[in-house]
Amino acid sequence: MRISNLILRSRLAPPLAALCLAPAAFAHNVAGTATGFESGLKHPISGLDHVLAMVAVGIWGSQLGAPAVWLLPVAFPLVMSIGGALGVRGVPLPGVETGIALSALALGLAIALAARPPLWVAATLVAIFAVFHGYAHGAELPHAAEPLAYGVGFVTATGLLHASGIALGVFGKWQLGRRALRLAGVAIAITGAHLVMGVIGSR
Amino acid sequence: MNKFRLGAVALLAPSLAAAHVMPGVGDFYSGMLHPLLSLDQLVPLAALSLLAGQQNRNLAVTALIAFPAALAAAARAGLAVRQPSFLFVASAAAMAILGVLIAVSRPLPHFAVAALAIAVGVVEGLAVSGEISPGVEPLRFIAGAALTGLVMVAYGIGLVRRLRAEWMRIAVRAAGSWVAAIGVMVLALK
Repeated sequence: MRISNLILRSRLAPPLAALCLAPAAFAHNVAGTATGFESGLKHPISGLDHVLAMVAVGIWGSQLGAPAVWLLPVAFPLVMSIGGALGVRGVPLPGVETGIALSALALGLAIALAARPPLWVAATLVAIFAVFHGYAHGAELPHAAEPLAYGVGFVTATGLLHASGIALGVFGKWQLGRRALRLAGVAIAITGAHLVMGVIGSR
Repeated sequence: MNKFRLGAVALLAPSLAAAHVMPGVGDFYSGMLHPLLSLDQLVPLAALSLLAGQQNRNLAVTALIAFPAALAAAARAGLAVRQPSFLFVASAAAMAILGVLIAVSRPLPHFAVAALAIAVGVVEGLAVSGEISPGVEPLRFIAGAALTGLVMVAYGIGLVRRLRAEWMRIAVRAAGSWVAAIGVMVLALK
């Protein structure tokens, strides 16, 4: 069968066609929306501290198993929005950068040690860090070209980082994978410690 | 079947290039596109459809009927009045409320689902009426927007009710928490 026929008959054909036609969307005057969404999407992935902490939340959730693996990604955005609202309103919150860097260190340690605290302890720890992360994102919101699009972008990026952490957690099904995940936790913790030192040193 | 799907994509393609009311697209199709091209309308609409899908069949049908009916009625009524200034805040509040309810994923009373569907429909309907400029045939535009509302809610209900795997249902709840987070932060902005 010719490749073109294979493509046409596959389930991927409609989405592929839609993707090919996607540039037409930019003919519409949604520059503000597109820019806002793009900057929102980029914000969580532009900082190593954000990326490490979000992925770590997913990995740690996977290590903890149900219900934590589902509770943390559901609760995180809700609590993060509280921090985001504080950031939007410009309410002073001390130690935001330190809190974000500490989150990478603490979550990395939790993964490295395969820590299994009670669910409420894990949820509270993650919630505290979520406030700091939300604050940093929220502080950018008023400056966005399209605040709603920015919000959709950064919440989507945060959720996808969690999802990638959960996906990495699948390796925990195997002995070697569990070791690899704990090693990844060590790497995250070391990087987090480096970030904490950097924040403290910059003062 | 796949050829039909490709055809459907091709039919939808011109819509991507269209703005709210675009010459050449037609009033009905402009109306159809309207709820899809504004995030402040698309996000609450998607959230309502997911919430309806989480409820039992009767409640889902209630939302399916109430939302487009409220949208059409409010859009028609909105032609006679000036567009209220609180619409964006109302959309953000709808996102926050609907998002939390999706994240919690509990059965709701019948009146609550009906009230939510009507409230979101009214907000979106008033937004639709604000887009009807002179030269646009209002009834066609409104009918298009209401049809999109009906299809979107139906699609959301069908999607959520077909989910069997637990992780997929949790993914819907996570999506709800994302929507709530967006709503809360946008509310804080205002």
